[in-house]
Amino acid sequence: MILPLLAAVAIVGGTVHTGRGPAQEGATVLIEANRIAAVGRDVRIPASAERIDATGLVVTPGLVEPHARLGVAEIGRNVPSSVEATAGRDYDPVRAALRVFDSFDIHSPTIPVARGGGITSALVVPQGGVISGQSIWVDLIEDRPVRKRALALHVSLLGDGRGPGGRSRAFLVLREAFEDARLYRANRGPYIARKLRPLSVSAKDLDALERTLEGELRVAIEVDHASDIQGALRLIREHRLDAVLVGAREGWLVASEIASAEVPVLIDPLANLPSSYQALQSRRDNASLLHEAGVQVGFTTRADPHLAHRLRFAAGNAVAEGLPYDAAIAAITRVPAAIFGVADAGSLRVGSLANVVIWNGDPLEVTSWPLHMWIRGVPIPLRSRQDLLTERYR
Amino acid sequence: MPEGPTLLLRGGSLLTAAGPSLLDADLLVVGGEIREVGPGLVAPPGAALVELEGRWVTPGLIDAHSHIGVYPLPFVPPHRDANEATSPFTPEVRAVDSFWPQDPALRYAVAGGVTAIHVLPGSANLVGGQGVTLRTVRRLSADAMRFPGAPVTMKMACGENPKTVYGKQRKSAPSTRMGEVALLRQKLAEAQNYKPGDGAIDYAKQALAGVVSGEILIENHCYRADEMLLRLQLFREFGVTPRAFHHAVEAYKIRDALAEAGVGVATWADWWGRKVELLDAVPAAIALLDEAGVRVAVHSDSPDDIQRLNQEAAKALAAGRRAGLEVTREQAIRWITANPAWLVGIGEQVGTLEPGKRADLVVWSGDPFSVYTRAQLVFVDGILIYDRADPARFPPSDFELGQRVAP
Repeated sequence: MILPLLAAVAIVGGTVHTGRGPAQEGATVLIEANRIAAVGRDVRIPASAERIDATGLVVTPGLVEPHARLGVAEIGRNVPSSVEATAGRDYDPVRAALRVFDSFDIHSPTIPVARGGGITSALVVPQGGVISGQSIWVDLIEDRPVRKRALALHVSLLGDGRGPGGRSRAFLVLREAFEDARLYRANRGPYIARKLRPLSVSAKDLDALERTLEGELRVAIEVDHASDIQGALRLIREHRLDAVLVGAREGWLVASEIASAEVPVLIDPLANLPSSYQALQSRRDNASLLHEAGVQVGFTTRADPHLAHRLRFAAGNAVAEGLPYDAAIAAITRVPAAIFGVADAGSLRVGSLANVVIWNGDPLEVTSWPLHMWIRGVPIPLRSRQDLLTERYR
Repeated sequence: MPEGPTLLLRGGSLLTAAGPSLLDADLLVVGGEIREVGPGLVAPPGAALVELEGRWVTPGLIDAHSHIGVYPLPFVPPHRDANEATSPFTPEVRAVDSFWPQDPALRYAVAGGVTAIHVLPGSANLVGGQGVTLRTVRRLSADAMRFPGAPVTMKMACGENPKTVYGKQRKSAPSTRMGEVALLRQKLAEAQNYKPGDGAIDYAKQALAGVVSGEILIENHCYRADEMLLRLQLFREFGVTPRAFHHAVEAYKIRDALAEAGVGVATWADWWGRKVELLDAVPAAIALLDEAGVRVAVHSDSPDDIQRLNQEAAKALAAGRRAGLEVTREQAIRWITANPAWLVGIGEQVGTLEPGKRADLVVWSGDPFSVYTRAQLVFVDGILIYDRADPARFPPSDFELGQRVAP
């Protein structure tokens, strides 16, 4: 593979958040090729490097949206043909083998708007059903955006909205699916020879489920209700799944159980209203309570393709409700990347991919915006169709 | 004027929404109305004292487009009372008659510094019914929450929603945008000639007659620039001007025409794209409209965003600056105070920190345009209705009683 020739870039003098711990004032971030070559105050800058003065500015890793619909969902209202990787008309509760990879489109107009919110990477998820399919990890760049084709298997315990008992039925579907997958794993020969009892899901789905049992595929479980979180934790324990909870609006009620199960959570800190019967106990300081209980917390705007740019505002509001600032920065950078095992994203440290943003102020503040962005060391213009419209009508 | 308390807010920064910010200034409330604003004011005997210690004070925030009480929390079918979607014309229905005063959302809106909400029917119908402006206080009926003297408004809608709700789904008109315009023209013409006769009152025609006479303010949900221009033309045929276009995400494209017609705009800071007619929204729109002289408001249309109207205004301010416009904080505060007050016809009474206005006030923990700032004290007519340090002062709704999250 031919890498584009990139000049080294030295970002000097800025306030640098590496994604771990407090900011370093007046530090240098050195980008060489597509990786971070150095970070700190005593960095030797190669003579050939382009110097960017970031005095008075703030430098962060590119933000990570870990539950995104970027590139698969355009117009939700009245245009179903613009929404991909979902349950669709032929509703099927188990589609473990469905791949977001098959329909992801890097040219979606939602992506430049998300980048305008400082987002450089995303976990793009499938939706619908009980087992929705497999997500991808993408860097929001045209050249080979997809880094991981099957990052996690996505499960939803939100109920399917098709009448009462949606969540208990979902638990039943999950028990059947995972137990059948265990049976399949132990009896592959008899299954192929058709000597095994009929299983509840297809062979393709069984293959995907088997990978979760082997610990090769993480399981992301979307769940809000406290009692359903407890049910999800039982499932995780029983099948020894490598899991993460998504949503967890009532997570604070069972924070110590989540912490002792060592299951990380991805939450939307702005989701504080009693907007459904599964989330009556939502509250504004969920993030800070979970963090205090020792839960690893990342943030997400939860699958809204048009409001992903609000991720950093969600983090800012979590700080206003008691979360330590550095934990809020980590929750939109290092933590979501680490949860999904993408160790070279979400951090400014030597060897990480050079996904870097320079801001004109505090990145969590509503009055700041990003000035420069690099993804894998490539400078990315921060111009969206919204900017083109503004220029046309200015 | 209201009878109310007398208090002196001393030693803060006032973002008055009526001119430059006043630093290290005081604000005197007598009988529930603002009496004086400026440095070194003296508390009259018996006045309550609020030491601001440099904190910011703004007028109470006003949301020009809310469905609190008519789409209450939790979002479940028995609560959905905003759209009388049985006919595209229901001018006789009133949001005040659907409003559930126990909506938990009310408490969260107050915690965001909101003191008045313009509650509208939904946008299923071409003429959806009458809006009502309420104060954010806990009462047993919407009637008891009414903003005194607020005019009646009429919710109208263009575009995707009416033609989708009717049309193919119901096999009834309208099914197209041209159908929407033709139908509305017909109905307005009929209403224009309405005279209450000897028989029973036709409340629908009577209400539409109020629209045509200009007595009832037209609040028109409309996204696209071309449709707004068509509506202006249509209303002009009947000699009326809408008070405001709501959502109006393409208003920036026709801002000079709107300014010239004296039509206001209520819109979002950064919503876009979830509908086809929402694709051309730009975050710099509010600053562009303001620069052109349009009275523009940041609205919420949502129980989520109403909690952070100050942040929404801040985003619009930042987007304007990013686009190279000179926008001041003094302009931005008007987007959530004075301008929405005008849009719903209560601008004479609230929306600025000026003598003679009702003392609807917010004391903020810091800069009102910061993500880290929270409303600490909220006053309506000089009465403290919310105190962040004592959340139980604003009673949780009956619905919330017994829940772990209730204060």
